[in-house]
Amino acid sequence: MSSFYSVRSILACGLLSCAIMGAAQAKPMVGLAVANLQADFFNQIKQSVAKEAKEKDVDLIVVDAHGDSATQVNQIQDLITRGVNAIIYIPAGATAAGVPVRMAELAHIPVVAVDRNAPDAPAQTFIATDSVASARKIGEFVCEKTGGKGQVAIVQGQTGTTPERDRAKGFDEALAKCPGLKIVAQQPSQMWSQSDGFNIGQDMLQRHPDITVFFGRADALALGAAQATKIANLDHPVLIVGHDGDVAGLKAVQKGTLAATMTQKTQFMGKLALDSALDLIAKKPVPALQLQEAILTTKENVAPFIAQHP
Amino acid sequence: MSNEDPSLSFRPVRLSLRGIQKAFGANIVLDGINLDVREGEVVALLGENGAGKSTLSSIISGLHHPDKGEMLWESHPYAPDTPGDALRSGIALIHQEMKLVPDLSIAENMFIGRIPMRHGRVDRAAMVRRAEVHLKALGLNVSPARMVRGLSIAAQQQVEIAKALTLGARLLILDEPTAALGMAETDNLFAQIRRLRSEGVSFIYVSHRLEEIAQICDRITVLRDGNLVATHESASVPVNVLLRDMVGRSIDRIFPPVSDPGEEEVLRVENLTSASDDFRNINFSVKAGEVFGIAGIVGAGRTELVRAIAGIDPIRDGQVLLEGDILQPDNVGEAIRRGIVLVPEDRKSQGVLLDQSIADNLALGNYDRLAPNGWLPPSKIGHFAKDLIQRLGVKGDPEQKTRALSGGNQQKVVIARWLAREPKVFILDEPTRGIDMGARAAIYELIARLAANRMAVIVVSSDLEEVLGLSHRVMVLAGGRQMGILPRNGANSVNIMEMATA
Amino acid sequence: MSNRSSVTDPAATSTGISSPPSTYRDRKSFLSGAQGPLIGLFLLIMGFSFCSSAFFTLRNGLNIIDQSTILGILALGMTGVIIIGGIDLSVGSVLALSIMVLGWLPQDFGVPFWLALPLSILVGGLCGLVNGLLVTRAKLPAFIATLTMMSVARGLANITTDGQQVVGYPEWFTGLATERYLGVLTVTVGLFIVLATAAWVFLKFRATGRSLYAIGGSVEVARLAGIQVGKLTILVYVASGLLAGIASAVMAARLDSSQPSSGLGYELDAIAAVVIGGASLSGGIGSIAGTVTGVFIIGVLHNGLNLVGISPFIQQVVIGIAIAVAVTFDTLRRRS
Repeated sequence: MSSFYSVRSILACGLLSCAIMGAAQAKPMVGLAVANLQADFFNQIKQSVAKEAKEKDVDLIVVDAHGDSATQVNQIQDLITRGVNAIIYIPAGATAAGVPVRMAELAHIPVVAVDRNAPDAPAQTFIATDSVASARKIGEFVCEKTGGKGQVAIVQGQTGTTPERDRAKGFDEALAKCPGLKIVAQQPSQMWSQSDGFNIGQDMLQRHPDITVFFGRADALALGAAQATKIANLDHPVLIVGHDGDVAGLKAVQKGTLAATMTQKTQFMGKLALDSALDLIAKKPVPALQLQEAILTTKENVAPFIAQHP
Repeated sequence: MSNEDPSLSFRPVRLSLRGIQKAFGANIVLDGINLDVREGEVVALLGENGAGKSTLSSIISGLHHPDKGEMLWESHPYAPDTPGDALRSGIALIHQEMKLVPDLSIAENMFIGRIPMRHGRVDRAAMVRRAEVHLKALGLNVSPARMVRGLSIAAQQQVEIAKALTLGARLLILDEPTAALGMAETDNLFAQIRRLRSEGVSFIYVSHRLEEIAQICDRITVLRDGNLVATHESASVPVNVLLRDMVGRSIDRIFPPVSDPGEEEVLRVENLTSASDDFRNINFSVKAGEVFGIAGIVGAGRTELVRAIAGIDPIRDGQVLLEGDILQPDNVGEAIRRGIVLVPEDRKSQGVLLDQSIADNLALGNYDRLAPNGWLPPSKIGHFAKDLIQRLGVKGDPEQKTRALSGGNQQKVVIARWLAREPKVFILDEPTRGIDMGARAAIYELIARLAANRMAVIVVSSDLEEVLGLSHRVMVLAGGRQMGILPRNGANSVNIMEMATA
Repeated sequence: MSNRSSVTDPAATSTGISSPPSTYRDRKSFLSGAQGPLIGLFLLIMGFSFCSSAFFTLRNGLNIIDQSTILGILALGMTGVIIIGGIDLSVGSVLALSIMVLGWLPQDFGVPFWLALPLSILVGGLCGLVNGLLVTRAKLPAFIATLTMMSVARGLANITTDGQQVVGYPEWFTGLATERYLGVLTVTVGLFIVLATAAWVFLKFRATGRSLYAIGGSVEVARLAGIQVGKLTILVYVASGLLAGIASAVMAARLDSSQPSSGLGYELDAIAAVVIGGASLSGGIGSIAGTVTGVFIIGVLHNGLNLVGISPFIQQVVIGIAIAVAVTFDTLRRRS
């Protein structure tokens, strides 16, 4: 029994020492609720917010919901209890839950939503990439590169999510103006992951060996499809494009594995999110919608993005 | 065959223990044990449960380390860290419960950890060949490629011994080797021990079965409460002397008198045939206050028969009548409610919940009586248990885990549980298996009390003396067939064995 | 009355039992078997109170209880399953199926919400029934049977609305999880307290509850003692499924939406809570008091680490270590 006591108390002491470092100061405190740090896109934003917070001497508390909205509600409740002055909210789950925003509102804490926004309870400001426009752009790029002809396969993201829906809309708009491009296959993935992309891509090539274009709705999906294409040993080239501008995606563009991707301005969005949060704390006006343009990235312009993500 | 070979004492000492001491916490389990084992001799390690036999075997085989004292093995200091070390030195412990992997073949089990390889692949042919040689030498006629699952306990034991021999073991420690063997199997085991002994293999034979020890051992060492109380240089020591050594007082194996049975028939078994053909066409009846013995060798279908009567296993044909009414077959709950209870043969896996308290174990099977409305608060269980513990003299506290009890007390718990129901038919399958001598008398006493309370009692036992000493009548089974029913005064071990092996 | 009778019990005095009679009563108290985890929970609360001024407040205490209800309700069912020596890997998926049925029936079929609510919970019970039948009739190991259900229920949850989420529940319904009556209790927390008490009473004071421990201790011993092992096994899995259904209703009220990806990985959290609470995965040991303590240990850890502002990556490490520490020391304590 005595050893049982001692280990528990060691654990408690460890926590104690952690706490002293983050003890209360007069600095502004911002909570960052991330959907899922396993995803590179979210992790990029988190790193950018953290960097910016350090520069501006802001206390930043990061929580990670591991993609589960119920967990995220708990975490935002904890942030409110902790007494943060503003919350940057990157919603988890298929569509953003409005509950966290409403809870913050009740506590008079401003919320900056990033990437997704709750339709029933919008945050004070919403920062995101204009997904419809950016997917349209990559669609136009595909149309131009292929000369308007080809068999298109799409590895979709998680069904029901806002990015998936918007990217489908934009890409379909572009393809509508390019009737020679035919969608022969499309299938949703569960986790937006590379292994999803690989498995789905392989099955698609099995059924339609004449595929000439792959669109992965995220870079990881496109990279998986690229690997499947490589293994399939086809007798014709396949044009593979992704979306997001993950580090891995950008490197693949440089190598030529991917023809193009749409680079989202994650660093800028992170900085903007923190700045907006600070503005809201200072009661300065912030526009309700801050849509960012994604940048079409090909081999020609990829190098600077790898050195310094926009 | 002589146990008193005069040349024995001149043989070189193989293993020598000096002043071995071991304590678990404050509890000293071995205190200054000296023991010599010579080449080619069988030394009996005798003692009641808890005397320290198992701990001593564990120390010799590297499972435990002594706190004090030293060991010499073949004249060199010997201090095994693990059982592996002991094996490499040539000492193997054959457990009471076999430790073979059921879904590997016999050969694989024998060579586990050192399977012969050839070109990076298992050399199955060589393995089977080598296994076969050793099995043949032990007189075991079974293919080494056969899976261990489904082998009889006796056969598994032989495989263990064969495995130890392939490892070059020169000292085998046999822990209760005959606990689960029938008579013929025991004879076979003894024949092998004698043969191996003549080849120079030494044995430490751990047991509390005195008859066996007299048959097979050269010398006898008796432990009691962690002390070495006697070393007899010959096996021809009177049984009561050994018993006195073991329990510290003189006891005789006396069976309590059982009163005459009543007239009214309580249980009637008609033409009973097992669904899995373990027994066929069994007919008998038991009267109130009668003890009905069932004898036979292992595999005769005794356990299967009483399980079917108690509603545990299905039947194909026939019926069981309780006080003239047909009992629904294959329904334990119904049998218990109507008053037929069974104390199973394998106490640890069928009788008691080892990790639960004595109180919970006693309440089990009595829920319907203790809790007619379904409410069973712990206090009720506690009072119920206290009363039973006192009535049966269980040495334990209601809250104690049953695992901590000796075999005899565990058995009392199972008997007490059923006694509380005041059943009409009380069946006990091998009631004293694994229970030491001192505690057996208490179990016999209980059985006599059951009969005195007008219950119909059925006792299944491999111990002939026990069946004969307790029963009014004895039924003999062989190969699932009923060979006959002998009255107490017409039965003796000779005619029972003749029928059982016919 | 019962106190006096134990003191004057002639058996206790005349036989001279070495341990005092009071130990018997103490160990059968509400917290029997849960003392170790409870000490751990207490120390955690102390530690976090030192670390964060926001931690030890009524408000945050209520938050933790709120946050623990879903896991808590799942863990109640899991306790029964683990006591009989089984495991239920399907609860997270069954929760997802129930929550989707709750959203889907009113949205696509116009079923009134008050009817959809019990129906969705029944769907959970139905999944549990299938689990129970697979274990008892088809003789599948519980791990495999519930692994199957884990996959099937998740698939069905996605099929209902083709992977789309359902948003917007009646105001009164979401109020159950958010409005604190008397400033203290939400209805969902009240529900959890009622369920936990009922489960505690069942396992502790009902003969059927005691039978579950016997089954977990040894199926064969239980069967030979006349316990209807098959029937009770099915009952336990049905209860686990129903509780997953109830947990789904709590989640729907709390999130004001239904998502087919709900409850992903919750089965492992529920198992962890039960095990931290001192139950044995080999069956026969476990208690509601222990499980509730285990649930709050997990809840307090998450909440406290968030309040202290520890990085999410370090949180995962800390929680993993906490599980290992709790279980290791419980095992050592039992052995000694």
